[in-house]
Order: sequence, then structure tokens, then C-alpha cells
Amino acid sequence: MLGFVVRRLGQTVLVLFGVSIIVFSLIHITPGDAVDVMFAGENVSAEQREQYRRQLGLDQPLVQQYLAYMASAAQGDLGTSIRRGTPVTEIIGTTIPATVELTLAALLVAVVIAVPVAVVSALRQGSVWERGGNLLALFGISMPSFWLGIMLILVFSAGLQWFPASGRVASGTGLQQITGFLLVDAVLQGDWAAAWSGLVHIALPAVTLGTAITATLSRVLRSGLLEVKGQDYVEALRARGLRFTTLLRHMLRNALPASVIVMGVRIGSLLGGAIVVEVVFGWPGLGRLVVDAIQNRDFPLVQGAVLVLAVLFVLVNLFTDILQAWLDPRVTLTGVSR
Amino acid sequence: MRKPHHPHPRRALVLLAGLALTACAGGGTFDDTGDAAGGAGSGAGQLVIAQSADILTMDPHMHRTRTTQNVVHTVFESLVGQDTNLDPVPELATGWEQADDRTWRFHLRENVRFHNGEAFDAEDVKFSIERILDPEQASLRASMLEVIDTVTVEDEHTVVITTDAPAPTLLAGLAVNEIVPSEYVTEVGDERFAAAPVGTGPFRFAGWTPNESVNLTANPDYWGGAPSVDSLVFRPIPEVASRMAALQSGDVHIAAEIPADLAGELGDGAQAVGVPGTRVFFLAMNVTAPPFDQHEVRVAANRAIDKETLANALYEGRARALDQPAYPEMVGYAEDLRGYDFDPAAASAVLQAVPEPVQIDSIEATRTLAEAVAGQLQAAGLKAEVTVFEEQAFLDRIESGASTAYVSSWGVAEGDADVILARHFWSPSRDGAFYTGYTTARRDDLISRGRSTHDPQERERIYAEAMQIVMDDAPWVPLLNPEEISGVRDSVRGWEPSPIGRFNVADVALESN
Repeated sequence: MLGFVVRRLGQTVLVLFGVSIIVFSLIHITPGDAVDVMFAGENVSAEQREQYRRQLGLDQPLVQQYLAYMASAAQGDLGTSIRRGTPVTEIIGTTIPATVELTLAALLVAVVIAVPVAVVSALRQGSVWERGGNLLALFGISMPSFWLGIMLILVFSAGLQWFPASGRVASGTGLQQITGFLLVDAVLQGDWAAAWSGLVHIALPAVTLGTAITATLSRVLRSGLLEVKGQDYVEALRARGLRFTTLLRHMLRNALPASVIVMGVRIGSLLGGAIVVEVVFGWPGLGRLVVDAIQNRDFPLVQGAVLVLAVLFVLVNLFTDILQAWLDPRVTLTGVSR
Repeated sequence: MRKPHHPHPRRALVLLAGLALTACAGGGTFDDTGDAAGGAGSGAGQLVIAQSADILTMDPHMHRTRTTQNVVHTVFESLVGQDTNLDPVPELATGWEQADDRTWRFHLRENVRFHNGEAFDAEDVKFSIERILDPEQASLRASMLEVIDTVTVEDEHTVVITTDAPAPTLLAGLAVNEIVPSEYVTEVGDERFAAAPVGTGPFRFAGWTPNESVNLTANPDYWGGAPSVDSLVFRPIPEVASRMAALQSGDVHIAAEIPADLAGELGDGAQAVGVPGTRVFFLAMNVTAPPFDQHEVRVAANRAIDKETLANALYEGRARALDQPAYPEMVGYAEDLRGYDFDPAAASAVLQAVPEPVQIDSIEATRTLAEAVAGQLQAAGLKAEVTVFEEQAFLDRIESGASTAYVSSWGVAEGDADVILARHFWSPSRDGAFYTGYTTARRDDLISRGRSTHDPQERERIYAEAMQIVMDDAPWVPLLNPEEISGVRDSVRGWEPSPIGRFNVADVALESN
């Protein structure tokens, strides 16, 4: 197990190295001079452009630029945003809690919906329940999240006015920031009004983001359950007259590893999906920051945000692999250990 | 740990959350207004405005985006303001006069204080203008004031500005650049000033949660009288459907940048309010390459475009058809100019004989308009096709002269025809950009004179002549000037939209509904 983790960590470092090179190259593979591209169509004098080139270190040799960028990145310094004049790390830091909060909420939505749907459709094969579950899954997979998001806004915000259309919390709560996670902070401070406001704000984005993985998760979990359903030990347990819930627990545990892998990969894509959902719902997270930075052609910020997204993605995958190995010892045996 | 007996996925989730928690340390508050909880509906006297983008900084001199300036300008003020006709009006200066054509004297408003108590005086004006022009500061706004040579403090409430050349557009430039407190900025430095900005405006900065909200509180000591609302919140909502939904549900009171084709869908409790905008859309033709090197083809293109139909079909009528590269409120707009009427028969007589296909370049933002224009040219017999480019590639094409024709727009918030004429039709300031490749000595000379003449009537006359030359030679088909549309809840009283998108909210009141 330990050997597997070490090996997997080694791979992660390699991937991160590759990522760092790609992120660093962003500014150089763009056609034309990076500073000219950033200020295209703006009235910025030649001297000022020269100054920005110096500020970005573009007058240095390429290798030196890369080493300098990585050296500061390793110390948590990703440069300064051209448009905002504040450190990139600081800007990104303020957006990460919002994105993580949204991702976890979406995951929660997915699990809460997918597990019952999977269980019912696996155990009642051929029933109207199964067909309903299949339909729901198809619906979830096919629906583009920007469309679903806007539909939810139109129905539940503009129409019924049950949920707010955008933002993370109502303005004027005066909530102190401790961890940056709004719901956690609200609970820590016992500010139930703010916590409630946070919950109603996160509901629609979490449902939108969660719907796509709900479908995948319920499909994978269902086939996992179908696989174990026919196995001897299940028959044996059933024959012993165990209660249904106990039986289900045993089945779920064995159907779980495959689902965890799928979830791990999907969490990665959630980060990408969050970009769309964050823009639609005005959610102040990392995804929206990337879109803003690209629109403003703020290269240092784009670089930093892409780097952080990539690192998050790689870490989630690493974490999933380790979790998978832990849940299913066969992985270490067949994978790397020997 | 080779084989755990009871794996607990739950533990993993907790661990994941823990990891994420340690990754980011907090600081500050979610917002700093500290008054009653609730959205726009419940907060007494809290006005909420939604724009399409967040601010980039609160330092008035270190950005060049409109959404940022809209917010900044409620906290800071300029020497000169602009009324809804874009004419200069007193703001921090109560009046001004010209000693000669390069020397301006500004009389400053007395008994004005910045939000930190610092008195506003002539030193602040000098400091602010010099800060923008300082190459070390690298302000993106420097080019707006580059005509300024010196700023001299005459006494506590009088400032003299001299310019390198006669500068009829000086007031327009001053109107979009705010005054900052000299002592405070020097004392705390740029970074802390941006984090805790103080201005002279009707609202005080209370806090900024990036991508979430900018919170401002009313300045009870404002020289123009305390605002009617207690607090003002700017929220960035990039997606237009969400912005409209937030308005409809009452989360926000004013939603900016509503597209004309959606303005009719605001429904109960809110309405669309439009004001003539400051952006001029046009079709530009390369006068050095076939087929537009032929004058008659360019004139025919002008006759082939039915601008009223474009305005109705694409903008629901919320746009004005233009017969010259200017809109009516602009200084230099020629009242008596004869443009080209829509005349499909005359147009197709010429355009049908054009053998070569014409590529019209556009960027994504103008795609619909470009395609409609191409459609009308096709109807008149020209083989016109639209190609959409990424912005930088588009600029490369039009600046290098590779483009045969392109649909684009030019914003003229200064309200002066010089901004558009000098940039597009005056050889000296094109800065190597090709655009249409159209130059004539007579018009260059006229624009040079227009730039150095102060007599307003003389300027009007000069620009009218320049406009007439441009329209006669027809390097452009001037198209439309769309309205700026905002959605406003019925509970908002006393608010008027501004042509340059500003939110003048000092006098706005909220009615409980």
C-alpha cells in the first residue's frame, strides 16, 4: 500500500511538472507579443508596454523566466494581476472556498439522489421505477448545465421566487470570514440567518452542478449493485434471513469501489463544470475568476488560476486513486506493488 | 494497512474537506455593511445594482473598464461632470475659464472633505493628475490626459492647467478621471489606498468581496446633501438571464446592460429604461483594394443598407440610424449633413456588376449585426460573406490593411466628434493603423484645425465640413447608435440612466413595495 502511494505521488509530481510547463507557456504560445495582446485596442503607450514587459519578466531568457516563475510559485507567489494590481495568490485564495463549497454541495446532492435511485432501479429491475430511474439518468446526462441553470432560475427565482438567482449570501449579513467557507463560518458564529441565506443561495447552483454527476453515479452504482446482486454471498445472506437494510449495506460496500473511481474523475470535471455554473449563478468562485481573467486578458491571473485548477484536479485524482486502493486491495496487487 | 476490514468512505470526505480547509486561510468579512440581513427587498434603504462584471480595483487611476468606473465614481468625483447631453457641468470644480488657448483656470469647490476628513484642495487636483501621468505609476488612464503639460496650484482653491497644444477635449478627459486625496495616498501607499479608498463622493467605501459585492454606505457629510438611501451595493452578475431574474425577484433594484431584444421581457414590478448610448457602429471599407477602391461601390454600399430595419430587427427599435460617423449629442455632429438614403434600386445597379466576393470581418460581439449587413448587401447583389475573428486577429487584420471590409464599433463617451474623426480619419493619430486606408490632405488639415480651435461655433463648422467630406468620400457606412438599457424596479424613485452607463444615485430614493 505504502509503495503504491509513493509510486503514485511520483507520477503526480511528473504530471505537475508538465502542467507547470504548459501553464508557463500560455503567455508565450499566444500568437503575437503577450503585452500587445493584453492591451489590444487600448490606448497604451509604447513606454508603458515596455514597462509591463519588464514587470512580467518578458525581457529575460525563456529558461530563466520559467525558473523564476516556478521558484516564486513554489513559495506561493504567482505574480501580480495586470488588471487589479493585487497578488494573484491572494485573488485566487478568496475564490477557492466558494468553489470547494459548491463542489461539495453538488456532490452531496448527487449522492442523496443517486443512491436511492440506483438501489431502487437495481433491485426492482424491469419495474416502472427502473425505467423512471433510467429516464432521470438520461435526462441528467444530456442536459447542458447552462440551460438547466437558467431554467431553474426562471422557474424558482424569477417565477416562484423561492430561491435567489445569484450570489452566495444576501448582502448585509455582516458575517465574519474565518475559514472562508460561508456555511462553516455562519455555523461557527451561530449566525443562523446567514447560514440559511447561504443555503438558499447554494441550492440552485448545487442542483445544477450535481445533476450531471447524479446521472453518472446512479448508473455506475446500479450496475455495481446488479453485479453483486446475483453473487452467492448475497443469496447466502438473504437465506439467513437478514434484514433488508443490512443486506443492502453489504451490497453497497462491494458495489462502491467502482463508483468511487467514477466520482473521483467526475469531481475533476466538476471543477470544469463549475466554470459554467459559477458564471450562470454569479457564484464568486475560481471558475468565474478564470472567465473574468480571460475576458480581461489578464495573463498572470489566467496562468495562476489554471495552475491552481490543474493542481486541484491532479490532487483529487491522486486522492481518489489512494482511496480506491484502500477500499479495494486488489488495485494495489494488480497495479503497482509487484 | 493491507486490508482494512471496514472501509469508511465518510472518513475520506471529512479528510477531503479538512484538506481544502487548510488550503485557504480566511480574512476580512463576507461583507461589511453590518445592517439588517436580507436581499434588496428587506434591507431598509439599501439600493442594490447589478452589473455584468465585478470591479477590478477601487483605485480610480489603475483600471480602464467601465464597470469599475461606474462603482468608483460613486465614491470619487472628478473636477468636471457630464450631464445627460454629455456637456461638461461643475463637479469638484465650481467653474473654469481659459486665460488663453493653452491655459485653463479651475475654481474648486470649498468646504469639501474626503471621507477620512482630509480637506479637498488644489494640491489634491495637482497630485491626482500628476499621479495619472507619472510613467512610474503606469496608469492605463495616462493617454486620456496626455495633452496636459503642467498643473499649478495658484491658491488653495484655484488650479491652473496648461496643455501642450490647444485642447478642446480637455474637459471631457477630466470628467472621466477622479480626484484622490494626496496626503492619504502618499501616507498609506497605493496598495492600502486601493484596499481602503476614500474619496469625496456621495458614498463611502465599506467593503469589497471579489465577485460577490461592493458595499458602500451613504456619506452623510456629502457636499451635495446626504443620499436618500442608507447603503448601496454593487453586485456582478455576468449572465444576462440571471441578472434579469435577480431584478424580477427583487434581489436587485437596477440591472444594467439589458440587451434590447430582451428588454420587453422584464415583466411586473420592473421596467426597461433606455437612454441614447455613446457607441457608434459602422461598416468600414478598405479604399485601396477592389471592389471598394471604386467610389461608386462605396456609395452603393451606403445606399444598400436599410438602417431602420436593422434598428428594428436587431434592437427592437432601441437604436438610432446614423447618417454620419457621429450621434446627435456629440460636439461636431453636422445637423445639415446630407447622408445617403436607402435606395436598393440604385445600389443594386452598381453592386450587381461587382465580380469579386467580399469578405466582411467581424468579432463575435458584432456577428449578428455584421451578418444582417451582409444580408442586405447580398440582397443588393454583392457577394458578401461574414468571417468572425478572435479579437486580436481582427485587430491585426484591420490595422495591417489585410481586411477588405469590417463591421466594428467605437465608443465616444467623451461626446466629442474629435475622438472618432481623429482616430479613424486623421492620418497623424492612426498610429500606424491602416483601417480603411483613407486619407485626404484637406480633411487632415480640417481635423488638425478642429483640434486646435476653441471657439465652439468654429469647431462645429470645421467638424461639419470634415463630416461632409467623410460622407462624400464614403469610406464608412455609418450604421447605428444603440440605447443603453437598464432594468429598474418600480420602487426606485428619481433615477435616470446616463448615456455613459454611470449610476448617479445620490438622489435616488426607494419606495417600500
